[in-house]
Amino acid sequence: MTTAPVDLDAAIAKHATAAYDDSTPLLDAGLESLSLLRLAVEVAGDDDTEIDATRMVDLRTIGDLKAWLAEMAGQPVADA
Amino acid sequence: MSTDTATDTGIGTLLPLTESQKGLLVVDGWVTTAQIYNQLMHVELDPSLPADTVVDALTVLVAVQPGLRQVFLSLPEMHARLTPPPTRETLPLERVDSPAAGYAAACSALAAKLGGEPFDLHTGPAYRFGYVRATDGSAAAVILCAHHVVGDGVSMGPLVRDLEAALAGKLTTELVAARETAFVRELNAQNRTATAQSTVDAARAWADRLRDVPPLVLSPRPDRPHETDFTGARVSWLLSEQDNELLRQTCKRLSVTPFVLFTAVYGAVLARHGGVTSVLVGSPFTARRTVGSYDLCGFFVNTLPVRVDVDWSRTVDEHVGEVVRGAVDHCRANVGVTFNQLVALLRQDRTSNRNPLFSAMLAMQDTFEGTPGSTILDVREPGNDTAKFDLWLGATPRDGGWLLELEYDRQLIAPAVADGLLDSLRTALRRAVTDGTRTVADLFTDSSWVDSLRTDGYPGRVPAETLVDWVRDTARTSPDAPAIEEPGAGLTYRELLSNAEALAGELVGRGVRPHDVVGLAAETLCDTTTAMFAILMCGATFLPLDPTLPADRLKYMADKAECRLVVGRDMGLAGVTTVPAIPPAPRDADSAAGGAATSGEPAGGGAAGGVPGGVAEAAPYLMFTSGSSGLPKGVLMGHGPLLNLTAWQIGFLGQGRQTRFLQYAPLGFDVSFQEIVPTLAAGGTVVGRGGVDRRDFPALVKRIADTEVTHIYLPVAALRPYVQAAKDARAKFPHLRYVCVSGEQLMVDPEIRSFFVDHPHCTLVNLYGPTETHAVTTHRLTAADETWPAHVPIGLPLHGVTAYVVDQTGHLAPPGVPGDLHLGGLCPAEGYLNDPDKTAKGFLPDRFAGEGRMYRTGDLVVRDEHGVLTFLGRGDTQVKIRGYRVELGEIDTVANSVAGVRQAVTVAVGTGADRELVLFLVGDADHREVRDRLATALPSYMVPTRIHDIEKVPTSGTGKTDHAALAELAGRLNRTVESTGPVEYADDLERDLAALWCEVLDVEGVEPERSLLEYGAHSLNVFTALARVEEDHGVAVPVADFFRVPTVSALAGLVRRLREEDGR
Repeated sequence: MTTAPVDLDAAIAKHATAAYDDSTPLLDAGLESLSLLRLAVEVAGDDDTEIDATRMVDLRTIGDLKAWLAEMAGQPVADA
Repeated sequence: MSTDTATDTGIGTLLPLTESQKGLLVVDGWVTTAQIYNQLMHVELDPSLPADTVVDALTVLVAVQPGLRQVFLSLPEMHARLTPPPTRETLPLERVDSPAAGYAAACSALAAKLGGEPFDLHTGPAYRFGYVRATDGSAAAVILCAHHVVGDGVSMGPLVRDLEAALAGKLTTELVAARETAFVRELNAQNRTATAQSTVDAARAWADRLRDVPPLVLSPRPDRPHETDFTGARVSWLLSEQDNELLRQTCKRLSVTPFVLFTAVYGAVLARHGGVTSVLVGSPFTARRTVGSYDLCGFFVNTLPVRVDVDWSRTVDEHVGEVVRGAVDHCRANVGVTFNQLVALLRQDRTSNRNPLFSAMLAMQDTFEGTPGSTILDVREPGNDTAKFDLWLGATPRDGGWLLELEYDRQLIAPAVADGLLDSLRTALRRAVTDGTRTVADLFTDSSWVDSLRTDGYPGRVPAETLVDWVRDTARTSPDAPAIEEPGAGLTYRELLSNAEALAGELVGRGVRPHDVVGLAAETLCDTTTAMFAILMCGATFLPLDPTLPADRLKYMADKAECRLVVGRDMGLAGVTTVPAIPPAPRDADSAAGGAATSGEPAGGGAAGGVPGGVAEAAPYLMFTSGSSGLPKGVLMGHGPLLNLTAWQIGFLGQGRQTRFLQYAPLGFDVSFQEIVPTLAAGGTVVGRGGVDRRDFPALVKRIADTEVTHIYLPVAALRPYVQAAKDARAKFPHLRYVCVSGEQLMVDPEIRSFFVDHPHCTLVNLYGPTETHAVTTHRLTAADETWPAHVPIGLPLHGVTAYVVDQTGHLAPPGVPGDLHLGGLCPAEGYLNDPDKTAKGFLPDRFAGEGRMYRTGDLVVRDEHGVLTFLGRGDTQVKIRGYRVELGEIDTVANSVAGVRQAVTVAVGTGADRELVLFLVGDADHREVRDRLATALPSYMVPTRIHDIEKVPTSGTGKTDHAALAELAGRLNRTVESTGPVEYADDLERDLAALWCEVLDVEGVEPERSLLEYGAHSLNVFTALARVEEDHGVAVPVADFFRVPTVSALAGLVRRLREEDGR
């Protein structure tokens, strides 16, 4: 089990192309599905972590994204 | 605890395949040009890098990217294995040193060479490198060519990153074990997801949503190939700054990604061009699951269908922001479902080299973004001039905007049609981003309307005001020429007109007035023609009443037409008076109403007394449509169209005094007008059938030969029996000049053509036209035409006819786009008699011309880039079998070419996935031979599952093939076949093969002649089964050969043949 880098904002800021807060829609912040995946890969602590891309469809705002990333970062190592 | 193979990554371990790999291997097994799945990556390097550094880095790259080291095997089931990392010596690398001036050309040449050679995926490797250096040290590049099955679009990133690290000496083979582990983990994660119950349920639900989507056929035409060699071409559009800005604003306003917007617009374009309202747009979605996989090269992408439903009346904003966004979200939420699962659930055919489920793709392309100071200067992916889909749209970010590229299969889509697609895409996207409140239909515009005006070039000069005047004028120059000829009877022009005048006098005396409808039920051709002209002389409208029709139908027609008088035989209709067709003779010159009646000379226009020369404003005839659905409708045809038709036909069919036109058509069929009236207007002779039955072809052939007929006009279904009867009788027709046909789609084959080769002076004319107009288009064929298209076009419109192809959006269709044929200009009838509602629905104001009317046929046609029209069917006759649109006539044509087949008709029975094809044969052909011929010539989904012999093909009253009756018969016969006896095999080989299949398919028993596809064989298990056949019987049966006839009996035949060949 590993813990994630905590600073989600810093990670998100690297990919966002516009200013944002938690209520900003992802598209307005310039984040598309590919950048979301890249973020997930960066944030996830372990190579074995699985990304459930089917859940990305429900992410609408930066707040949603943070919750998802936090969950993934804290997720136990997948039993591969 | 771990139970899978994640930790066991030793070389040679059996690895599972991703679903996408399985799908691709299937297609790869099919294509004859195996290199089409070769992908190229050109990496421009810092030229100062030493060659050894580069070669070492490539060696390390392959070592740490296990995906590249995969090879693929079929037994005991399809799987992959890893080969050991290469050494510097074994690395497949081709080096080229080139003078600086030729560097770019050397790179292209090497890329073409590397990309042009197929890989052997069984032995590997599935990749190869090229290394090009300019000899002056000014440039260097590495070219990687790898089979698609080992890498997807996302793989470019990891490969480039690894290469960069390896070149810097920061990547070593220490990573190999970790990467192999990560690779296997990803494979396992994907397989676990694909087989999870939740995924299986999601796949089932998704398949249900896709079941009713029609096949998308771009640029439909009858000779569209079923398979292609993937030759591609591209057209592209770089969006302007303004376009890009509007696009950005639209995406922001609707909260959608450019992908959603492109899908929405592309989907609408495909729907327009395919003539449908639902399309599936294939698009790659990443299926990578583990974080570690983002460092790996591999085929981890899942290409899924986005269903785009197009409601043309919706606003663009709704279409993009709600409908298509919802459809894309659905895919994203179900990305665990695999393409293979959907294909299997929908029972889509996988036996040809076309992609199942969708034929059009949309791919968002990645672009390389370099970093300053890197040894990698640029990365690009050269194309290899292939088109893996019918149509592919690539959207590539370019300088902050977009480059859109359409890649099309050149065998399926002509360049002019591809230009039309790009035009539609450009117009639609521009309109979508400028005004979201317009409708989806309004994303498009009319194609050039000049195309709609094009005709065959034959003039239509009308010399008289009425048909009667015209024939009178003609008669004046040759009063004693034969007008009508039948056995034992005949009329000169003088006789015909004077008889008609006498009868007309009688009719006027009975109260017939202009515009009245008078029934016509005379028995002989002489009487019929006399009565027809008598009625016309009164300025009345003749209504043919065929005595063979049911009494109820006749009563309905007479009532609807308010017909109070019938000339000819007594039909027993209540309230209707009958007048004999025989003129009231002998009579006194002055006694009857018509003083001109016995003048002995054809009277001039506007004859004396109550017998005028017809009335130009009055409609000459009223004919009832056969009424395939609902009640028949009475079509009132005016003088204008008929005068134009007559004038055009005389020129087009070379009619004159020598013309001898056989009167074959039933009088209630508008073809009879074309046989009789233009012939008389031209001064020719109408020749009666006499007592010969319409279906007695030997007698008909004799009559045509004996009477030296020059023109015949047959229903399409009668052409083949006629040609065969002529051949059987060894009849020659030195006088025959034109064989006209109409009524249904004309299919021709060498047997029909041979008649015209034997009669090179004779032209075959295919005519098309609904009762609501008249014949409006034609296509001519003669022996001099070297190729005869099996499915004959309906051709070009005749003089005065405007033919609009109106597509789904309500606009004039560009070439290659199917649409509903609307007929304007001179041809539309006046309407349906006494039925203003139906008239208003069928006959519309001609909005394209801004004046006049047009008739909406409901017939689906397509105009090619040369202006030639082809009939595609009616909305309800399109047959879909296992995901493909099938043209039944094409099957008939192939079957007709087999010795012993006199006539073949295919029908489709059953619904949905159970829909199957049944072939009916007239003649004494060997069914096995027919089956073999069909299997050789057609894709397997087009080979009928059952063949039955019949005595003769049933036809309707107007001589058309009665498909409904055959479908009913097929249903009855199929039920009989299914309830018969135990399975029997010809020999032990068949028995062995059947047992093998039972095991592979997990079924109880298979019939030797029944398609294994029906038992559940599909491309994936076929590989395994054929590998077992090879183990057991020592011969490798090619997959493609097996699928030609996928039965145990045919497979046994292949095994025997291959054994014999080996034995030689």
